[in-house]
Amino acid sequence: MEQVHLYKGEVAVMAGTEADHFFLVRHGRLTRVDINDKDSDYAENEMLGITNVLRRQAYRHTYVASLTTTLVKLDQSVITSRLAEQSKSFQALFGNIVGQLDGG
Amino acid sequence: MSANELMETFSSLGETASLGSGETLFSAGALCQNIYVIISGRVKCQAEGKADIEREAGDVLCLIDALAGTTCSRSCSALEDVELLVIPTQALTSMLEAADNVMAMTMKASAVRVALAQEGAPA
Repeated sequence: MEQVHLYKGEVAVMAGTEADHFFLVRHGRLTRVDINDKDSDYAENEMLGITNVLRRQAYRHTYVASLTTTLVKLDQSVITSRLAEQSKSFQALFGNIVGQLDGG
Repeated sequence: MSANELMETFSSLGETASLGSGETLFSAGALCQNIYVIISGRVKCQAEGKADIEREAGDVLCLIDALAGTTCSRSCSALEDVELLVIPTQALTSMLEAADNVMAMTMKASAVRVALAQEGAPA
């Protein structure tokens, strides 16, 4: 787990690259570069890339910092190993939620 | 996961209940006191200005609202006779408290994302 600091305009994830990490937005904002839709932004306390990591898919879109942004960068093993250690009910609910998420 | 598998997984956390066709399960704006696993039957979830959503056996209702800490974002009524497993949100809270912190945070953050994408779907 490491913190990543981005200035406005810096790239957080690039479309087509392997999704081996997911990100928690601590401060700031991430914006998709290919559309002008604020609903696609990731704001504070939101996570980008969970479904990509779990489905082993590349990032589908390029996201840049639209403000000075701090991310917590989490390795895919954080989620895959820790999920296996959770209760069956937790795993079932987690799967239900992630199944409804679009990839980042 | 099938309705039977969900039932097996969650049976210790809640109780079964039945709902007749046309009956209301919960109303938009109400306190989110339970989450519901549909064992059989179909329901419709509605709210003014939002797209209707139908849910069926194997689906979970109110989970996103409960995790996001909001009131019920849609009203829900039975389209036919429905059998449900009713799980108090307190059981959900206890489950999250017992879980790994990072995983609990990830689940909540994911729920918020789903709520945004689906205009607060009770699923």
